[in-house]
Amino acid sequence: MKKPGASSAERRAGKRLSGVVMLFYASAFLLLALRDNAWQGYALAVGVPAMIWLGTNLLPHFFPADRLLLTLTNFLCALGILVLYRTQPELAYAQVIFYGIGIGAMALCTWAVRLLPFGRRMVTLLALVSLFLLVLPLVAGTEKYGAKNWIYIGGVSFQPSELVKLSLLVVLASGLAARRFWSWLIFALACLGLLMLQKDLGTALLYYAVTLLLAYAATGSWTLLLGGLGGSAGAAWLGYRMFSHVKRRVAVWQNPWADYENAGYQMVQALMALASGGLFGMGLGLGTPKAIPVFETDFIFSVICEQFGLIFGLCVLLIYVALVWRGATVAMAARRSFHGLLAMGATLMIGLQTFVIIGGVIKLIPLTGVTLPFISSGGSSMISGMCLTGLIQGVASRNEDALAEDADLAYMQGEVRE
Amino acid sequence: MKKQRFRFKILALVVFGLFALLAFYGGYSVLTYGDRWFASSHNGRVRQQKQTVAAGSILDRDGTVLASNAADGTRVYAENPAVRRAMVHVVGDRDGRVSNSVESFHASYLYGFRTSLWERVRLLLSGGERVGDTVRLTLSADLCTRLTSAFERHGVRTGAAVVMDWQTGEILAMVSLPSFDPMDAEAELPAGARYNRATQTLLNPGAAFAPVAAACGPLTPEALQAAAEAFGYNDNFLFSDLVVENSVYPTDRDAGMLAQRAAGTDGVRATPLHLCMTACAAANGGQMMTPRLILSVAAPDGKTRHTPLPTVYRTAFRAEQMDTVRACFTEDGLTGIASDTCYLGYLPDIGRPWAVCVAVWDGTDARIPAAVAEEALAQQNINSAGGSRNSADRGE
Amino acid sequence: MSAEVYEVLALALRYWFAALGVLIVWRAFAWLRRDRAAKHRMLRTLPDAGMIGELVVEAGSRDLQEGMVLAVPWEGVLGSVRTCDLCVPVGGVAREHLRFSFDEKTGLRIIPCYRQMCGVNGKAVTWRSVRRHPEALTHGSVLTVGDAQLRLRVFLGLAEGMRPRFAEERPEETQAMHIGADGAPVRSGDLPQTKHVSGLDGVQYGAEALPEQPVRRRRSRRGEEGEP
Repeated sequence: MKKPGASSAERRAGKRLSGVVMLFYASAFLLLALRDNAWQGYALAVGVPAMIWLGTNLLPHFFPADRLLLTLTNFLCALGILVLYRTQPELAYAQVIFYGIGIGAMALCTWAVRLLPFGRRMVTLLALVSLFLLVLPLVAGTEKYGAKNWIYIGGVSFQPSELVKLSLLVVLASGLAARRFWSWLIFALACLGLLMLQKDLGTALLYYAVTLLLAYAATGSWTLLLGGLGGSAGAAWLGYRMFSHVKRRVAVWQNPWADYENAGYQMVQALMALASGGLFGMGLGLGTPKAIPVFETDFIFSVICEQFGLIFGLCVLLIYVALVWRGATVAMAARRSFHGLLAMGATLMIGLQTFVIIGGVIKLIPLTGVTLPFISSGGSSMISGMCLTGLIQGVASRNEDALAEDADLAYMQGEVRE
Repeated sequence: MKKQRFRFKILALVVFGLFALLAFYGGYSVLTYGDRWFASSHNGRVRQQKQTVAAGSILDRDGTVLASNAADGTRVYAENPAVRRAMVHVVGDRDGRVSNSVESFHASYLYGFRTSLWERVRLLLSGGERVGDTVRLTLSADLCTRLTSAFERHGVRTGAAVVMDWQTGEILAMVSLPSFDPMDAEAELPAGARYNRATQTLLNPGAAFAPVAAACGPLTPEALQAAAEAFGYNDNFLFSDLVVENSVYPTDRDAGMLAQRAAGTDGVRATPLHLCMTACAAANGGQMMTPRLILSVAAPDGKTRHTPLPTVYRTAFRAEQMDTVRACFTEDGLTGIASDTCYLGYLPDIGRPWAVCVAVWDGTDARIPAAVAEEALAQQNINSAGGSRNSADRGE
Repeated sequence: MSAEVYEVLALALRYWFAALGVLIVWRAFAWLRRDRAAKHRMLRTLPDAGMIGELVVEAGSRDLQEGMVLAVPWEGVLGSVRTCDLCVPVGGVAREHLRFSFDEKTGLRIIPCYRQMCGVNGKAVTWRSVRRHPEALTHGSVLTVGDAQLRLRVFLGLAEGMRPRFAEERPEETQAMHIGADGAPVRSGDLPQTKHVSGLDGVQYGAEALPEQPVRRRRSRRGEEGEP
């Protein structure tokens, strides 16, 4: 009997969507290749669509994958490669490698969710390793952009907090599903404390938000939710009063033009890029995206809007909405509380991170130092995003397996009865 | 699990709501403030465009060239030095010393950012030089020069004047002192010369606040604040043609300061342009028109690309209050109000529907602003290049 | 390619990229909608999807009568309110009375909520005792909550590892524990005997003839295309 979900209708839908995605990247990279007449551009014009085709049509044969999630993730990853190629080609080549590693990591996470029992001992071990990883930057880390959250090992740098996101979700899901109140609370607080010491306030905010929302989802406790929200407001006020860099960030958010030469420079450049793009963009390959500081990570969304316009920027937002929708659907279809919380946690992590960074870029909220999932340059960011998708994929594949079993059993019994 | 699923749904909807907020705020910000952000002098894209596109010309309403390109590509301004000095704060200069001038604020027209794709294709095929659009202003260079001369004759060193058409909102003149010659790059600028005081400097209107107080009715703190806000105080001015500093009326509703505020002092502050808009409202039966600086924009091939139409900015007071408001203005040549620092007036003549505000910061003779206004507007005729002002055309 | 030609090409392709972006979003959401509809169609043909069995009411109340059947999911909460996965609106049952979770090896694990208690095959189970000795229901086990007595029937295919408890015992001889409204235990002999239990297949079973093997799922309807 065919497994539900792998129907011909779904394959047709997959081909239609991936076809358009491939067309988009083929034309985009070809245009850039014509500008520079560099062979790398032509290679990417062929290679990236091929990578998308392989990623959406071949990969599901090797591990159980939700094709829509895979297609959307591939689209976003390729968009990051495109924008980086436009601005700084070396970063694009590195991003391709990170994407390849990310695919492997995604498959690993998918299989982990399918096969591993995530018992108490395993979760405890995971928690301890994660805390160790978070302590490492404080002891032997490097400061970057005001936060001490990077580690260099053998010439390779990575951010432990990006990987600890995954174990946070596993520990939270496990503890909340089993109603072990203190285990997940202590771990979450420990992670938050270590992140505050690293001054990685953006990631700390994300951890806090996901913890609070998952706890609410599992317990339904309004006291917890409102208390958590009140606590965060209090912490924000305290942070504002105590830390000068928080005050600077808030001042820049209120009026970046007032201090254009210093703190406001980055924000002003981002706003000018947004405005210069207008509805349809300045044109791929035109404009001056590199005028924006940190264009390759925090402000990559401004670059996208400058090149492709507000309408395309809105389309990117909607792709993230589709991702969140799919992730929530997978979570709601889970048979076990643990799997539901895991999938929902991963979905919330992606959704909230996207909101925080884009909100900061368009000056809706003060800017925080988080990256745009799948798109921003950086191995840690890419791999952690792919792993989050892998967690959702793992729960989705379990759901599909369970549904297939139900169908098998039902028809088997139906035939026996007859 | 049922409850958990329901909460998952709620959380998903919360995230969707956040994304909707992002989309709405992003779209609103860019569509509302985008022109201002783009026009910022810090925008490197405009500087980059200047390397490949020759800037379009800026003309006054009569066709006098206020800014153009010389044969060698450098930017040159009006031939007459007096015109250059009178209009530098509106037109701008090539070094960007004046912020929010036409040179920077309307760079999207002047440097060809609004050129359509078909125009670009035609230009590419024809091999012609890329030139920006020609911007025709509502200003009259002649009137601006007369105002500046009047200021100088009366020994005013720091002042501003605005003349507007109260029917259409066109700005016919806008000058600011101290001034400088944009063609003289080496000249040391006097203190405050960079600022267009007509739009960037706030002053206590004093007696010029009388129309607002008159429209308020029974004088209470709430009513006076409401009347001020009906005239545009505390509003966020987002005019499409120019940048104007927001006027301020205190919102604390302090009854003890009511008399001072009704007299246009204490925390009441406005720009000369906004005060002129107040006079426009008084002349126009309560309808305050949106100030316009652009008369038309023409593409390099001569076709009109953009012709803004007059729009009503707000209704400042009801028609039945017209007599009370107009009673503030004395019938003495110009129908006006004089305060210590400024003069506010309008011509009720339909053939010359002008409102004027002259502000002086020198603190000398309080009669000077009125004198400057009367001298400048006497026997002045301005061509109606934009709308028709002939009584026959209006069906009278 | 000259800069001017490139610029014109890039300006022209802006609209192409915007159109493709919109098309990508359109197709993604169409796929989401299609999947949702397909899932609903599938679930209509599998009414027992996500369920591990059913609880048959042997003693209930006016709102939960004898013979009624409650489908049991893999995991959830049993309580008296409708938002619970198993709604048992009977006296003595708290809003959220106990949590349950199905394990294929051990059965339906029962964890009473704070300060609640229940009975499993006559044995009292409290929120304290379950920490030391986890309790699980297998096929045929009787769960007593408040005034209700519920018998578990596990679906065929899920209970292969479990030995039906009632294979050696006759139902009428079961010394089932019933928790009365005052919290005092009442022997099952003092309760009115269950006359019959309705199976989902419409067959009426007498209490003495309760199936000893795990119950079959409800018949599934064929899909519209003739496939599952």
